[in-house]
Amino acid sequence: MEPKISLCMIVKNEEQNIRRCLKSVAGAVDEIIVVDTGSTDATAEIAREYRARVHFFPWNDNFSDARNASLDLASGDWILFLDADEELAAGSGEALRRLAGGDAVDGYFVQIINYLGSEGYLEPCADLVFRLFRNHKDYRFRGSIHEQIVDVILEKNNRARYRAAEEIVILHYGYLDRQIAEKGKIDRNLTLLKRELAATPGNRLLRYHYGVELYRAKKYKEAAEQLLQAAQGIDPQTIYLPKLLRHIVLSCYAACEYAPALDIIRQGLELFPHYADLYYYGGMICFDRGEYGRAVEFFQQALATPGQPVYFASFYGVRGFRACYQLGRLAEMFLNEDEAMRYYVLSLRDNPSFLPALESIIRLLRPREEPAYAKKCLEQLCDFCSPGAALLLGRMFFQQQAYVPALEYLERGATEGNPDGEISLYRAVCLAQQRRFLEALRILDSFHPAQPLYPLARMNQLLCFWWQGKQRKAKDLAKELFALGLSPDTETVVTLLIGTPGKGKPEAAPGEGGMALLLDILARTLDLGENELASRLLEGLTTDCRRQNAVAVGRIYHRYGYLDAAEHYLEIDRHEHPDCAETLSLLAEIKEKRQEYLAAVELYQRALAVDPGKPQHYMRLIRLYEKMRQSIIQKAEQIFPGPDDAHKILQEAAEK
Amino acid sequence: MNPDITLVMIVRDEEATLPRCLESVKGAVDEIVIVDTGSKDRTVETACRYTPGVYHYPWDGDFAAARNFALARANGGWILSLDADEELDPASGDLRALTGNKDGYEAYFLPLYNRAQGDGSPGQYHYVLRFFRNGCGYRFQGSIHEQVVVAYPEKTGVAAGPLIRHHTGGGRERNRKRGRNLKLLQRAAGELPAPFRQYYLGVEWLALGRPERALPCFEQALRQLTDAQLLFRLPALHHLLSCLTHLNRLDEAICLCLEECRRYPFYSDVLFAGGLLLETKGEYAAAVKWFQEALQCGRPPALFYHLEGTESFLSYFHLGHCYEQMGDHRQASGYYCRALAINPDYIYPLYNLFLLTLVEKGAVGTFECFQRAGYLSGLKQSALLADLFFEAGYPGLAAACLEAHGDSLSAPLRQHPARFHLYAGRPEQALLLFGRLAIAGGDPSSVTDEVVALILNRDFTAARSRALSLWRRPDGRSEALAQLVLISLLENGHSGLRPEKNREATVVRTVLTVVEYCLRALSTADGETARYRQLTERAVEWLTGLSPASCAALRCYLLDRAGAAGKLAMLKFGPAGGFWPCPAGRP
Repeated sequence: MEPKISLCMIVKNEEQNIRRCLKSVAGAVDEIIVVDTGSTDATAEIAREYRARVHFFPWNDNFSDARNASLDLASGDWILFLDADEELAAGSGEALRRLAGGDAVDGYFVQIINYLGSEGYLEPCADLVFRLFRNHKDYRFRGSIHEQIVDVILEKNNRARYRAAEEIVILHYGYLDRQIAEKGKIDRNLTLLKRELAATPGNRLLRYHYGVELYRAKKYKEAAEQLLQAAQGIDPQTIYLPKLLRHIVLSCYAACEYAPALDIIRQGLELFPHYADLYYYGGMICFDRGEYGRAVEFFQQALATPGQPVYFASFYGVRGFRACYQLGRLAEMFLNEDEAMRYYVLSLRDNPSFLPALESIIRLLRPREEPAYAKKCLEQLCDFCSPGAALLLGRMFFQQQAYVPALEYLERGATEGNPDGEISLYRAVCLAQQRRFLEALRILDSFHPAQPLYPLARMNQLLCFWWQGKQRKAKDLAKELFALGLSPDTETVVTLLIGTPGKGKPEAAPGEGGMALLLDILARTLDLGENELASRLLEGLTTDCRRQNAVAVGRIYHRYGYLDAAEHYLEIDRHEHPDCAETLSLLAEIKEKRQEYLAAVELYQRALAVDPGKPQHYMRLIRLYEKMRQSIIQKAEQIFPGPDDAHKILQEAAEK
Repeated sequence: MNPDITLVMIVRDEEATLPRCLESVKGAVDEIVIVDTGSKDRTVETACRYTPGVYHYPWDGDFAAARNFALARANGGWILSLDADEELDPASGDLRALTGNKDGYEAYFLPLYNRAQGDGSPGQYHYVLRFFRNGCGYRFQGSIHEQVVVAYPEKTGVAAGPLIRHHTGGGRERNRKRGRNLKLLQRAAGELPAPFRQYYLGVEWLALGRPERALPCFEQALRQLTDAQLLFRLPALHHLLSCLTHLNRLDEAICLCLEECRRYPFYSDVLFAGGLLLETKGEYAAAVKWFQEALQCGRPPALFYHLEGTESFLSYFHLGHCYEQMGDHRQASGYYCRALAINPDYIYPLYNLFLLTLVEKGAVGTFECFQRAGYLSGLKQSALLADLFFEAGYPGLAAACLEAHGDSLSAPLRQHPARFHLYAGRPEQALLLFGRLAIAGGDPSSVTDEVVALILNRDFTAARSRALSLWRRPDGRSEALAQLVLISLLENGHSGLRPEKNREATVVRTVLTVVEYCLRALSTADGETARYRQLTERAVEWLTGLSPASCAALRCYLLDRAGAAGKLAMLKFGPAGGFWPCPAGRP
């Protein structure tokens, strides 16, 4: 006769989740027992819809008591227990039936996939949990929180046998950001765990759970302490040791205790030399500390590890897209763009939804300077048919100020509804940056005052007029904007735009917010090639303000190729802050572009002296020397065009 | 008791070294007895200059007999025995204090310092019985390596000083002596007990540079010598290790160390030797364990052959080096600091620490850090750091290192402090220092410095006259040419000078050196650097236009600079999993 399977659950206020759970077990179980510990919502009704037997149990701060109550009511041969925020994966029901039919085994560990993150971007984290066992009156849960039954069964039946059944998969949504915030589970768990630990201080597993909960509560230092205590003298064969080590490392890392973290990593790798997570976190720590070379080695080792058994609960992507992404970032620090691109592509291939990799790829393709090439590469890389994907790409191009391809993709994706008008605004900006002012203005006109982006739309209209030199129209719009009510910073900027050049003292000194806006306008102005307008804009600022923001202004001029102006502002900043490595490095780049090589050497050396911690400074210097050597050969070929002997000497020296 | 001290020596053909020895004991001894065994040179005349007690002894192949003959002619209450190639260091201890001792000691072991074979490593100390009461039964024994017999161990003390320095002679002379000794040893087969003879044979072979022949001798000696003969057994052990190392049989050497450190568990020298071998093999993690064990030992008892520092600063230094190789710069730096704290005169850790700190904290950070640690208070260390800062490209900091010592010209520097000031952007100060120097015989490179200082100060006339006076010296003509080029570059904006083919290489090299130093000045000086820039730019232009060879030299120079930057980067970041686009330093 077919064995009977009972699903036992304890719930409280799970109307959002329970339907999904009960739907998933249809046909896989013969009876459903739901013990409700005090719901005030529709949980019980929904359960009854699925013909569950609902029983009320007054909550007494003890999970085991509640679960055991559900076991008392079960009449099946086998018990499966789930939580309301879980569901049985498709196809697992069949495996469930099959395994329950077997003789030799008394309990099964099944696979659970914990989803982390938020809706729209879920990351799975697999693990092994004990959820299926033979029903017997002596088999009851123990422990007020993180209730255990595995040991109990072994105590009552020392011939009990367990097995892993990874073909049965449970999907768990309880760790999603939204879920955790809503429930305040963490504080409740912390209290219970603390109490239970006080009663049984020797319970390692419990202390482990306590540490993990402290970590989730962001109490990193405490978490590290508890977890380390749990690990003191632990048997290296303990099944949850990998998870424990991982959490120790994470806690120390989050608490910025880097040296202890690295030490645990070292010890952990001695026990588990293929544990990718440890390599990955080692890499992250070294990266944060500026030990870039070691970081690279760690991440490469992470990539090279073979897969680990499920009970290691490896973090998604540490052997794949995450490590690749970090390697890409590191390669960029060494100015090795080829390797960087290679790793970003690998990352994206491993996880096509991993947006940071995509963003970096787009950035490296320099879409503003080479839009056609960038588009071609991307199209080879991935498929962007859907409108949602096109919008995504459009936004990324927009972020890189590559307005031509951005517009293309935004229009491709604009078939979807657009209530906020955000896409329209983007499109208008793209058009304006291509000097298609009429079309831009038409879109901007379509905004109406109720929309939250209305002021921004008007601002952009003002800019269109300003760029076209239509001062009167600009002034009119300015009046409108003032009437709408702007922050004082923004008002200052607008006044600056419509002010008359040369008249009166430069008085504008916007604060941080205003400066951000101003710099944005500056960038777009230079992108349009309106150098004059840009200078006029800046002249309206007080000397102090210009001085304080010199490096930001210099950077923008540099980005758009206005070397003289960039140099001017960067020199101002250098005078203010002679020990700013970034300024020195940018100035050196400018000198290099102008072929003033010796001056560039001088500046790179100074940057290096100030900050010996950045690989790019060394790389720039080494490349500069190579450039200088090349230029000498070129000059020599002009000055000494004679017979081959002359060139032979050059070759000989090169081979030395 | 007669407190007078008599120096007793036997000599043959030692006219070159004898004066140094005798000068060193002036005032420390009251009488000198020299027995000549048949010199053919002016040894006897030299000896007579220092003492009337010069005697002749016909050589009969028996060193001990000769020495005992000398002893018989000594009148002092105490005897000091030296060889002609040794000298006393009276500053390191007082013999007379030893004679007046209240402990009843009648004989003393004194430390003998053997300068190593010119490879810069620290020398070795071991103790020799060389100072003893006359006429109380202390006599020499053994026909070749005669030893004073320790008749009453409880009346024998070990003194920390004065130090006897042993100078290894010139190659040929040394080999001759060694060859003679070998023959004597082989003849004395019957007289010396086997292990001692083997030991001495081994020593002679080693000194002749034949470790493969010394090896079996030491092996046998080690097997047969007992702990009662520590004074021989331990040196035999160390020599054996050294043979094995020379012959690249490192694993055997390590095994030997393992055995011996079980026998002498607190003997730091063996633990240190083992660590060194593992370090050489690149097994740094294992080496670390050995060095840490060595640190746990204190100084071994006096009769143990001991290399100073194996129980302290030397092990710290090597620990630092191991950790550096393993990539743990923090630990490495810590150990280097500890080595320096214990022995500030052992400066090797300072080199490594300098580089590590440079890549971690930058140049100014390094200076401040070292200042706080007190590394700039000793002259020797400051001088080394000044050199290091200059070579690393920071002339200003180099000058700052010497500030506390008042620009001392007696510092053991490789270059003149004026150069530091010159390329720190302070040509006037450099000129002041040059003024203090004796001008007549400056070496060409410091004349170049002076010329550069003058032209940066726009004093072209004085510069030209310096250059021309160097021109008159045949050994300085090429540099003088280079100086004239530099003068013309800064004065006229260009130079039409074209050196002859055979001088071109030196001229180019000199100009490139100035370019390098000026680049250092440009990269670090705080003040006015326009003239340095002018000089550099024009010099590079001139070099590019001179000839294909000078272009090649210029390219090589830039390649070297790239290589230096690459090396620093490698030190800081390691190989970085192959991320360097081209391996740092390769063209």
